[in-house]
Amino acid sequence: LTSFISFIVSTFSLRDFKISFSIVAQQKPIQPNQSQSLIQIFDSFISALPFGLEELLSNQPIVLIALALIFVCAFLIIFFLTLIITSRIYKTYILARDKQLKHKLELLISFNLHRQKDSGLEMEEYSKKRQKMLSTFKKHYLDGSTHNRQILIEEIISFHKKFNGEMAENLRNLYVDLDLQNDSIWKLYSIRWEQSAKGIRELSEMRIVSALNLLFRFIDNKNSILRDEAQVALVRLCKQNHLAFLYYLTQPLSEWQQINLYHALRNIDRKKLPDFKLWIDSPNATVVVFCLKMANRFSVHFGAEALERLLKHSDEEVRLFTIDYIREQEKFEIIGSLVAMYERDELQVQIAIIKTIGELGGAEWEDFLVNILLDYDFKKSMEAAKALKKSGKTNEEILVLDNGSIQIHTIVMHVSDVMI
Amino acid sequence: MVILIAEDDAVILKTLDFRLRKDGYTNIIQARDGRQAIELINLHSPDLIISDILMPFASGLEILSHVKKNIAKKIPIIMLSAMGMENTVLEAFEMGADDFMSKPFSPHELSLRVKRLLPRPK
Repeated sequence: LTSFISFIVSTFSLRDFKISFSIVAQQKPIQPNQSQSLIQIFDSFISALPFGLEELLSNQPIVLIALALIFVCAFLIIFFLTLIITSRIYKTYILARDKQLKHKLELLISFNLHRQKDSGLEMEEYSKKRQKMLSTFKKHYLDGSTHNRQILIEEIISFHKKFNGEMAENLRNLYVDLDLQNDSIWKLYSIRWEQSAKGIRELSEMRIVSALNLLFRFIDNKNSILRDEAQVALVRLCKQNHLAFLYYLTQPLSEWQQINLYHALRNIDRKKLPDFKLWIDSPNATVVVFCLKMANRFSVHFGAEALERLLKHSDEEVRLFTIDYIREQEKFEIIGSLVAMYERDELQVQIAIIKTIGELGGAEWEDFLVNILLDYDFKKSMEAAKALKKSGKTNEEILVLDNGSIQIHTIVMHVSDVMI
Repeated sequence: MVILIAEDDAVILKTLDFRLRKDGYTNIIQARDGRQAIELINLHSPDLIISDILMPFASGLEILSHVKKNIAKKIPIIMLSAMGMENTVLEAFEMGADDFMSKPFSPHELSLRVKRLLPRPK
């Protein structure tokens, strides 16, 4: 019916089309034999048309070509419209079905979420009812339907993220009793990395400790997302030595991943925090930097011998974070080593050393700072002036050191400006 | 005794409602956003407010400020916050919040805190 209506509408449009092209046709007539085959195809059809259209269309090849084009367009429009409408109907159906399923699953989750004594049932009766409910759900909704199981996993996880304590434990029991952890484990073997990442996250969220060995093989994966997910999962799942995977890590630990690991470590009891000293000799410099940051953050003590070894590390970033640690944790006893290494190190490290001496050093290190101030290297002189001011020197006392030269005067005025 | 729960997460709202009803508090009103919460506070003058900090239209802090400025009755307020919002929690205490819990939380623990602030229902 739609095709017929389109055809009639296009035929009427053709009348205008014919009129506008008739002038061109008169000037440059199209040879009838060029479109002979097309005419033959449409001949029988045209002769059957009502309303005198036969007369209108006969012997007008250009009109026939236009007609064919309109037919093709109409067909394509109808085809795509049908496709869009069908897919929308299907999507609506799927959404409605999932909504209905979620509603049913919510009943299951609600029953399992609350304590037995809240249900008003005796323990035995509660257990029987629960078991019956689980087997009914398994039989009718979960067995053989990966889609339904995935919806249930997502629902349980979304509830689990919101609660802790007994409720979280009840949700975990439900996840295990319905064997949903097997679905998550299967995802680890998927060739699609995003599925594996999803599986890792599910196992980590639901605290499936038995999957630790399976997760361990992802810690050094070439895919950084899988690697990151697995590392955070291990920190969350390990009962002790949460950072054991750092021994095996050859890939660099990104800044972002360091933040993720820090967030996972924050939730661990302080007494159970790993000994960050264990990895200071790691061949992976990013691991050493991470341990220094964590030791600093959690105020873990590093001895002078370990710190001096770190100050000699070949990686500049390790040396910089060691100096940060010395400054933050106020390790006064290391200042001598910092002064000793000053001359042979890079500019960034030199500036960090001056800053640290400004924070920690007393009068005994003033000469060292004055020498740097008079070195006339702008960045170093600036840091030295700041350090001298922190150690209690006034502007005048600093200016006298250089007989009031213009450069030092500018620097001193700059560091004294409270607005900067 | 009227308890107002202001929370934009339907699951948490439902669970808290269930938990408090089990504890015998039958008069519980629910608000899904800050604006609705302020309207309900003006209308019912509840005996206790449990409010999330991050909500549409008006935050938990705005609700707290409204109660402290405009309601003569002393209403205890328990704030719920996400992890890592320590500064906001401190601000809430400075503004007069009575207690806070960070998410994820245990509804059982919350019910114990409610019992500390409200007399047990008969």
